[in-house]
Amino acid sequence: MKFLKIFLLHFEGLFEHRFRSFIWFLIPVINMLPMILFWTLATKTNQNISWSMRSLNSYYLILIIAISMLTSHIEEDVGDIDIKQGELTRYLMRPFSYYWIKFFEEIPYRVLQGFYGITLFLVFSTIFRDYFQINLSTGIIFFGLISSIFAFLISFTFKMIVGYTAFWMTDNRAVAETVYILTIIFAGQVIPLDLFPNQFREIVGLLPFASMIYYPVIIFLGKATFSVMLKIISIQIFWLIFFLILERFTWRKGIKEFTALGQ
Amino acid sequence: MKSVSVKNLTKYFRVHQKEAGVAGSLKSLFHRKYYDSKAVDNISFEIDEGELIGFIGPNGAGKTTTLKCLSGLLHPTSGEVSVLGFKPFDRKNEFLRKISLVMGQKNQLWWDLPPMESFLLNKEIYQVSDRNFKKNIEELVTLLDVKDVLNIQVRRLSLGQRMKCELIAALIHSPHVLFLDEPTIGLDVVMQKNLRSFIKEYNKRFNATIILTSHYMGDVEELCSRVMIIDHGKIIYDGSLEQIIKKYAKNKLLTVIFSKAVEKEKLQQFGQIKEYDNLKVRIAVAKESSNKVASKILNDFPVEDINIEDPEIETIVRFIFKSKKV
Repeated sequence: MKFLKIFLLHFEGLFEHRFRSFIWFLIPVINMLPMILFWTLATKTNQNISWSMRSLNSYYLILIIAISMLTSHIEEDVGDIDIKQGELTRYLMRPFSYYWIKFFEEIPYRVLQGFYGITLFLVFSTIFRDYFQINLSTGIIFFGLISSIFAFLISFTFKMIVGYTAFWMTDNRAVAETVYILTIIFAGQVIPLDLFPNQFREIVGLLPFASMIYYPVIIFLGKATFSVMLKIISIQIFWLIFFLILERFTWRKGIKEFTALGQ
Repeated sequence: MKSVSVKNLTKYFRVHQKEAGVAGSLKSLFHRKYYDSKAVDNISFEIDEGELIGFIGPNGAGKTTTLKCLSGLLHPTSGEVSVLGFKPFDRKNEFLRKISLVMGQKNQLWWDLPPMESFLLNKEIYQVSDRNFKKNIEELVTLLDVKDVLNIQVRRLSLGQRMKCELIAALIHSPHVLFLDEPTIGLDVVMQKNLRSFIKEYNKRFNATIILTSHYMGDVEELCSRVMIIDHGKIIYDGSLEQIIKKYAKNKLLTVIFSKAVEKEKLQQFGQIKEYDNLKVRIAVAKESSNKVASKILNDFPVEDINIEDPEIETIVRFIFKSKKV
């Protein structure tokens, strides 16, 4: 009950910024358009591409929802505002875990962005049905949802750690931007990881970035067999535990460095 | 019973030093120089339950750093701190439910929502029962007279109204120890007065231990019977305000209003003239001879009114900072 009330109060706060939230949603939508254009040309000129254009369209459509719903951007709040400007002070004075209060601050954004994404998905997959290939079964939805929850938790915890680097660095933007670039490449935001060369694909698949966005997309696309889905969930559980331990460690070390500047 | 106990508290900050200019920037790229800035330097003190204490000192003296160590925000470099029997930096929930920190320059209220929403959030976070929440809100809102602004967006409130709402948010869980860092900063004199009255009332009513830092001597004079003067991270005075006046006020101030103009030269024999016009003079007179001087002036000049007073506390504190002898 306590958590629900805290969540609802943060949701109220979000409605004050609903327009900004909508604009943020449009960014991945716009970013995906050149990719679809690129693949349209690529599939026409190269017959060796193993994915059909319908699969690729569906991939980018689901990817938009995954990016908007599962990718946390909490590192900016944590690093720039809370740690560098000293806003962390007000969180530290409350008998509530900083990790969880940030979690409740983040969730409403993801829910609202997800709402935009699902609306877009329903509109596109209904009006332009012939251009997409999405067959959702109960099993796919079940594993897809589990994988999505893990993906969000991994992304959120990882981004919290990225934010914590501000405890030691006056300017941690370089770290945040590096992570951003790596995520674009290795979470499948440019091309599906399946289309990477064999050995490279194996390695990239084990990195945490794939667990944050790519895997749930692949499951919802129906491109993962039962055994692959189990492997995906296992990899995600590994990364989640790893990041949760790392998050506790960096928090405990970092908080001793906190100078509460700006306060 | 002791609320706060501090033994040999030290807090150093590691500060990066860079030579000026492009050459300095390039040099610091490869070889960075650091030094330890002593924000708090080996201080010890104890505070009893229900005491209202003022920390005074110039900017960068270490007042706020001390407050941050006491509230658990900063990890001390060395020394022991105990607040209500807890080690503050552990920030145990039980400890955080018993304290509160208000910083005059920062707010915890949600900027885009009415203050009531922030109060409700704190209610959930501090797990205040519905009954206590209602009782506390009613009491605090009445005391601070902010009933009309509870449902107005915080960004639309005046600084004074916001500060009052900040206090409500900080007190909703009835803390036993209250840390106030510059609570009256930026407020007009009327609002300063109101807030002081409220702090005094809260201290009395709940027997709460209150520690405040302020640049305004008025805050300290009106609220605190005990003050700690901090400079360069060290406590250079810990005691009552009266004691400071006794110890440092070597002079008394005589303000005399004459019914007829009196020449300045005739008054110079009594002490140092601080202010003069033909009908009014303010003279600093040695403390031990102030009564004699007053009676001589009364006899020798056409006096309409005479007043003997201690110098302003602000003047004394300024003198202490300058001489650093306590």
